[in-house]
Amino acid sequence: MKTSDDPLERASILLVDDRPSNLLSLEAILSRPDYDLVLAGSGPEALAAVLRREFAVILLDVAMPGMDGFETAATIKEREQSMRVPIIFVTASVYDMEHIYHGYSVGAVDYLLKPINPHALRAKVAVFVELYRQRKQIERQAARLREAELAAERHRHERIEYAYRESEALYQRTFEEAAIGIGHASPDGAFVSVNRRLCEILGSTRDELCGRRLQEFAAGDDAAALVQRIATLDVGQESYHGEHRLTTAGGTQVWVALTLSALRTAVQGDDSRSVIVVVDDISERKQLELERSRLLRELRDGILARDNFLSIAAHELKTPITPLRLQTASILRDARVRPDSPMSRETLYQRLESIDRAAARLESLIDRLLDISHLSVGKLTLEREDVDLTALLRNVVARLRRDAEREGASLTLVDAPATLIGSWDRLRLEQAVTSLVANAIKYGRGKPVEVGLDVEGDVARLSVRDHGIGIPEEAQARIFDRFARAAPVMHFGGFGLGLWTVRRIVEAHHGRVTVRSSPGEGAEFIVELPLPAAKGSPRPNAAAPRKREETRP
Amino acid sequence: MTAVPSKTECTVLIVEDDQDIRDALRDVLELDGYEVVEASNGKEGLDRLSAIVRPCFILLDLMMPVMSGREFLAVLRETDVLATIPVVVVSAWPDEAARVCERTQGFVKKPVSLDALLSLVQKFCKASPRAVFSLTPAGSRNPEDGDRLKTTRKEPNA
Repeated sequence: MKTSDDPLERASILLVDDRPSNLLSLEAILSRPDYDLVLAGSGPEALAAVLRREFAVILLDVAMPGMDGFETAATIKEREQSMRVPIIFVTASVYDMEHIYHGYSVGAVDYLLKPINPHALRAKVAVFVELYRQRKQIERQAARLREAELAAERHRHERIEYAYRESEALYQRTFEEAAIGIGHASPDGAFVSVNRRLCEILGSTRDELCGRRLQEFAAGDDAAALVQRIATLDVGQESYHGEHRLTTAGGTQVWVALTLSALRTAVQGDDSRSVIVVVDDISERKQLELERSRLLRELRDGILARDNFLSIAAHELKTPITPLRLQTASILRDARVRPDSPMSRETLYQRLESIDRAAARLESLIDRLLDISHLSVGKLTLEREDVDLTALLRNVVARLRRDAEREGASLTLVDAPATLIGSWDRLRLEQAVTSLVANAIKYGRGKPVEVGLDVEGDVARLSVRDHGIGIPEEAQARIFDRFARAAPVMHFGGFGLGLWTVRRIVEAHHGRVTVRSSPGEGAEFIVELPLPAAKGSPRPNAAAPRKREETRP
Repeated sequence: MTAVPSKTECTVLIVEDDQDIRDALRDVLELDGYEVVEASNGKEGLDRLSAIVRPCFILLDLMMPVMSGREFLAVLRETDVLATIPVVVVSAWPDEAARVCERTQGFVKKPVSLDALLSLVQKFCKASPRAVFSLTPAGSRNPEDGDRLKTTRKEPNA
């Protein structure tokens, strides 16, 4: 950039005279290193020179053939480009003076009389040159100032532009990288732009998603509801929040928290709405909620079942109290009211037997309760020994035959091999089989009960079949649960834990128990017990040491 | 103490599925000279009624297999010749007994006490069966029955 210390600016001076000798003389007088002298021999030459460059001052001879000095000056002053260039007329006639000052309103005008005084000429020219230089300097400064202002303006503009671009990029990145699915949709729900997370949640690429409608990812009624939601969204009104189950492009179900808000799109006029879709994947939370409510339901069912069980258990325990109390009260009353003729020894014996039976029944009930409690909280310890399952079944059938006959039912062991030896817990298996057979008698409506046993591969398959009321299909899945009972509570006695105990025992033996039944046609319980490698050994090894095993519920 | 009634006049039908309870009720009643007929469910009870002399009253358990006490009552009250026989429910569940109180003449809670049992036979067997029935027609349940049973149970042995 130029400063005021720069060397003197060169000044161009136009000398116009039709006589070359005059031009030479002027040139000689004015010649200076910082002047550029341009010579013109006529008015038109002068005009041509003025068009080419800017002059600090013009020395113009008035008396010229053709276009004279005044005419030339008039033309120069008419031109916007040159109107401000000062002109010094050179004339021999003082009468020209009037002309000189008349009619030139713009730019400086001066004159010199011939013969020319070199000092006066130099001085006049120097004044105009100085003026020219000052004007130039001011112009330069003004230009510099303007340039500086422009630069500042440009800088400010650039900064704003940069900030805008930064902010735009930040918003774009925020939209794109947000951990929540975001998209813009047209009022009919069709996606216009979507971010990465939304693509992930809906299992689609950006290209696949754009143009597809949000409701296409929802099912049936829900899709219709979403269409309705989107249609009723109002700008400035509350957003819609809801939980929806969507199906991704890949067919997986995903639970989402959906927020829909209306946005006015100014560019398209007042009526144009756009929809902001915010989608958060809440499948995990939903899964946990479902899991929690399932556990809660199980827990509640469990508590209900236990309360139910306690009520039944209390009732069962009370039953033997009736014979106990009646018989003892009767004996006491007899002794008090008829001391002289006491009841016969035989009658007394019969009464005491009844009392004993009731007491034994109480004891057995309490034992069963304790056993159940033990099975519930603790481990089931198996005392394995070689057991002949056929003999075991034969014993149980013989023992329960009287009970069956009392219900009018026959109880038979059918299709059993002569012997079937395995390493099992004899007492626990007896308990399980007894429980199954007692159940069959209880629910058998007096119809025959059949117990069977066969071997399939290395599995002993034991079955207990009745032809009674059967078990409804919906109840079959839970009859092996604790406290479960397929029949109405009030209908049949029992703790409702028999089948649960059976399952615990069978599973402790690494076997399984299943049921086949259709209501009204009875039920068949099947117990499958794995046989040891040395199964079916006809000669039980009495010396075999007992193995202890423990299983946890 | 009540005079021992004639056996032919005083028969009690016990309908109860638990044999031990049935045995005990029978033992006590027989010791006092009453005739006892047993049935292990409602169906058996109806069978017995068709074969025996009309009982003074029936001791009826509610929860029984084959035919429950409720079902038994429904049939009994629909059968002309049997409709007027008094029935006393023996149950551990007062709620269940309350549901059939319209058709019964009393309720004894299990476990049954000797006093409660004896006051029942005194109430229903002291007169001839015919007379009892004329005093207590079917359907007109005496609302004091329950209370009376409670107070009589507290009385000392006759």
